[in-house]
Amino acid sequence: MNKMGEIRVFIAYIILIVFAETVTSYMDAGYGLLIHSVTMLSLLTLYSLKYRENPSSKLYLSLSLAPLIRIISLSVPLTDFPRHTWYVVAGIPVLVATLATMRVQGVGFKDAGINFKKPLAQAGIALTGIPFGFMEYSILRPEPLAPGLSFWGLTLLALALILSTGLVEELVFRGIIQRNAVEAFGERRGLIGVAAVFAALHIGWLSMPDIVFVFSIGLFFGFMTLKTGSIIGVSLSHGITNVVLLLAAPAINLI
Amino acid sequence: MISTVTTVTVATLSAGAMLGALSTVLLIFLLASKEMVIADTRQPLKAFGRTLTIGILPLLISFTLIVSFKVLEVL
Repeated sequence: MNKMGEIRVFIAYIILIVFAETVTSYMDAGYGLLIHSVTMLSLLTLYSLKYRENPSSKLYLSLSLAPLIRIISLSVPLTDFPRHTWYVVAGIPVLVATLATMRVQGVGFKDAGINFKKPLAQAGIALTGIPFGFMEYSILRPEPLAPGLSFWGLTLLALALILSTGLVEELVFRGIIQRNAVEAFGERRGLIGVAAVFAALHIGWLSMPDIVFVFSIGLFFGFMTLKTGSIIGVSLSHGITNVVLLLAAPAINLI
Repeated sequence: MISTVTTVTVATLSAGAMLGALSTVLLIFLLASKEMVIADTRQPLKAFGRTLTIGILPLLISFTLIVSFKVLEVL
């Protein structure tokens, strides 16, 4: 298959993921889970058939993490856990799947962007999480995640949020999927495609402004990862955004 | 929120055990497929067998959690 054909397949899968998320969110989660399962299996099959044709085959493998994230989050019995632990509980199996993907691809942590290149730039990127958190709070206005927790409890929860939603999701989207997409289709197409997949997995928040916001953030995180060669700054920014959104901004709003 | 664990995910989870059952069926399918393909010597099938682990491991964690909570419920 030529490059344009490969790009069409990539776009078709993005549309399929958007469709599966829409069905999950607006129609029936059971059917959504089925569509996600079929999408994941077809991506794994495509990878196996094109096993030696790098780098597009690697992209199919890494893209299978997107439907798998939703399959995991729908199958883990989150409601049996306290609400403030949900993101950590769902993050562990996603991390395991990501590590398994890295192992199959032969990708190390440094290759996936877990390195401390350009530390000052990383610190600057991390701080963007504060305004992003307040911006998203103005869109979603969520309830405080853990209103009764002590200071140390909140500190631990903040660290857990940074690791489970920041590091794990950035490792998936920027560290693995974007790395393969850029290798296969170039920076511009890879960046836009992965930001679209990232935004698609946020359809479940049922907020169009939030999807646009997350798509823009996805482009920003992707661009910063390309420029710095590291996901540390964007992971911290992603985690801090969620800490501000769920812990800090609601608390300030209550005062 | 920039998290893939969305409002809908959580709202759906509280609705019933059907999703747990569906994901268990998927896990069984993946385990059975892996058993079948690892016996084959053809390269694409061997590659497919290796990739199935990516789906099997997280679903096993999920399955363990589901079973653990069911057992605790009974006790």
